[in-house]
Amino acid sequence: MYRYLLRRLIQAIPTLIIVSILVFLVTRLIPGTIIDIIAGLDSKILTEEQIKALSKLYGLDQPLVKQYFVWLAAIIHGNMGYSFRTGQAVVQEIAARLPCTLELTLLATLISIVLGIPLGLFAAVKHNSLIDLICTFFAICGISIPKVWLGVLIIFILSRFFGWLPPLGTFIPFHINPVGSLEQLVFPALVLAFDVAATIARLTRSSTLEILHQNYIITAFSKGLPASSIYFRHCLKNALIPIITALGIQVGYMLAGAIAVEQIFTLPGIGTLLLSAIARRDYPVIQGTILFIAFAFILVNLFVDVLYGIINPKIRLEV
Amino acid sequence: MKMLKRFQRFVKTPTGIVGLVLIILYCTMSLLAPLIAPYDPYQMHYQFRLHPPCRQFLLGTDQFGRDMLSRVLFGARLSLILSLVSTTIGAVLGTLLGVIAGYLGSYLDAVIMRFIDILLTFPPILTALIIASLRGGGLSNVVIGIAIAFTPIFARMIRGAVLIVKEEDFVQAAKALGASNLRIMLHHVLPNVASVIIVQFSLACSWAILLEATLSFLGFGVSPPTPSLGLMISEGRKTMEFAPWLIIYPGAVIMIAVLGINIMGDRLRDILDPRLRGV
Repeated sequence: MYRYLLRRLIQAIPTLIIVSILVFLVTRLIPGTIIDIIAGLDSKILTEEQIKALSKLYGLDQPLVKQYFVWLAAIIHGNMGYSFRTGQAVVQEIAARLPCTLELTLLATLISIVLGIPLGLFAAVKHNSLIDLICTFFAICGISIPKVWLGVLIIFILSRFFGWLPPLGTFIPFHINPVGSLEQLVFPALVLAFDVAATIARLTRSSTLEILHQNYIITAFSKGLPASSIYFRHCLKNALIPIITALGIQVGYMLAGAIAVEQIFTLPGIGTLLLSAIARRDYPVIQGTILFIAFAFILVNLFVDVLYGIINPKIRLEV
Repeated sequence: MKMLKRFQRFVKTPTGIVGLVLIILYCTMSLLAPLIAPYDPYQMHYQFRLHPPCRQFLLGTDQFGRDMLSRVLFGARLSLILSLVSTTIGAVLGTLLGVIAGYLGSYLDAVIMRFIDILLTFPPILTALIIASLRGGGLSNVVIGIAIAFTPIFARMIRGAVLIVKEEDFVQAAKALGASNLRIMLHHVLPNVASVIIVQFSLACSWAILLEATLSFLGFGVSPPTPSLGLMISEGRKTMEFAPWLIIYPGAVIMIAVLGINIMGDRLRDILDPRLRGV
């Protein structure tokens, strides 16, 4: 198991390096230099000397390769630069926004599991019944409904028919005010989880259906085992493998999907940080957040691979 | 004859019919928009601002008094064209990379796939958002963003299919007869992975529609006053308390399109790839 883990960790390193190069280059490919952006319209009145001094300050007089390594070394030491707008360290800005996105994503993951797996399982067990039809309908609608529309509709319905809106603006952490935090995040999480729950329900249904026809299930039935134990212990356990893989990918995508959801519900998360940074051309923050999201995505995938090795011993042995 | 039979099988199921109806509805709306739209989507009727749906304006008007029906029709048209163009570019680039990597193999495969895997660590929405926004938004940049986000997805899918086809006897036979690599790739490998491309293409079109709507909603896509469905939802938010028609109809059109494409994509997959039936 440790060898498997080690191998997966080593495999992630080149990916991380190339991701960092791409993120570094993203902002260098934009027309103009950092100085033009900071000084804005004033850049024309800067003297030759001042431009030189600024170039030196930001390391722009160095060759590109050296700039990259300086940048990378700083990041390894936990310094992602400083926001052009607020002057705050990018790491601090991200850290301040992280709890909101993290709680939102976790809640959404929980919702999609709690909603998706039982629905898929029931649909498979009662194949071709009403619940099966509902599950199939939900699965196809769930991935077809635009998230932005669903979010806006939910806000509209809540405010118009219930005269209530989830607390917007400042984030209420769960450990300080659990009820307020859930009130704030449950609807955004529902929007974020909707298509994932649909995907999970669909996958659970199809993989359970496949397993229900296997010989060992028939054997279990003929032995007279209680149905619930067959469905949960024999069936679901084996059906879980493809579900966990899909869930891993989907949770990674949720981090990016949160961008739109946070914007709709005006939550102060990583997504809204990225959007406001893009709108203001605040490059250190853009780089920092993109790098962070990509990093988190790689981490989630790594975690899934490890989990996969634990559940399915076959994979561990192959390596 | 074979095509006709396939089509019949396709339409015979109730879900297939629903999918087909939705797609036809969406395509008719988009293609005939200039003919059936009652007004110019940019024309402002100031005296009828935020007018609820009525006889004169079937879906009401927006905050500038522009006819929503006309705007929704043109929005559908824009999203159809945009999704087709961006998905086509992504599919062509991805197929090129996938076939080359899968068929030629060895170092080329390793290098291309490594790169593809890395591009896949960025979720499509993030890639499209970054490229479109940093290039300054607008129609062409949205297309470029979505196309680049789709390229690795196509490449990976098609490489997998090529690896299977490559080992088939007819490819080996062609090789033994002295056919060039290019000829084998174009005449033997490509037609046999076509079903994978078609299925992936149809699904990717629906993602492209959703991506464009999201990007425009966030303000980094198509710029106003162009009638984009995502932009309409975003603009309608300010007045939705008393003018809900501004957000309901544009979203409903996106949903019709995506639902239709998804249902059809599922059925297409069932028909074209019997191995995946029921998955």
